[in-house]
Amino acid sequence: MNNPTVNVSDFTTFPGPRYKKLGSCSGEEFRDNILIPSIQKYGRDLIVNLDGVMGYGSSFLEETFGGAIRSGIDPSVVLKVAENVICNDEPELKKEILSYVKDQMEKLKSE
Amino acid sequence: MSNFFWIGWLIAIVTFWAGHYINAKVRKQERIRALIELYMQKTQELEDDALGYWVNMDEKIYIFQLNIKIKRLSTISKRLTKENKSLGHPVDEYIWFKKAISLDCPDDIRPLDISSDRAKRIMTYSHKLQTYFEDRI
Repeated sequence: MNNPTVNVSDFTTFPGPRYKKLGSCSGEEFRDNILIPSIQKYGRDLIVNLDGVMGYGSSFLEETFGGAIRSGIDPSVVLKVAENVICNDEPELKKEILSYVKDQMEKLKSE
Repeated sequence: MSNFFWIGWLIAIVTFWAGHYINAKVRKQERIRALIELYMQKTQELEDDALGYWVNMDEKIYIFQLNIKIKRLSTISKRLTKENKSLGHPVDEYIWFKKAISLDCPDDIRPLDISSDRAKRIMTYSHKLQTYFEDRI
């Protein structure tokens, strides 16, 4: 059975800045409108497909995945989703995203 | 037919295949060298553009253009890996370079000083990426 998949390319081909107030197609917008509702629906089975866009700024990725933890999503679920991202266009993205998720998990522990 | 006839043929065939093999190897090395030079050139261009964006407030450079150029480096590295797996890609340096360029970039913190931490990181990781491949030419 195929896992439920969210394609960022359906959201935008030009991922924008971190916050909505800084511009369109932001990480915050993607997280709040697409990622979190999808995680709430499908849980850790969710696959995020990052392929098919023109490139990601680090702020977009941090706000999307690190921000999901800050928004109250179970860190272990976000970690699993981050481990399962599809990023054939730019394979380095997975390690970068995992660094944001793990940083946020560390921050939660130390709070 | 004499043995000399068959030996002659054997030598011709072996010579042909050896020439073909050496030629293919040389062509592959040339492709790798061209890709490495392209990677280094694109890294330097990205460093210049990123410093233009952050330090010089160059209004012709937008952050999304920098993101596209970062992705271009990943594409070149994939082509390099396809040519020669052992070349690899310095993923950590790539990620730190990318973070230095595009992590937290609201307009109001520009222009930065050339001696700022971000500008130094952009230059440092650009240098590390270029050196990694320079050593492999």
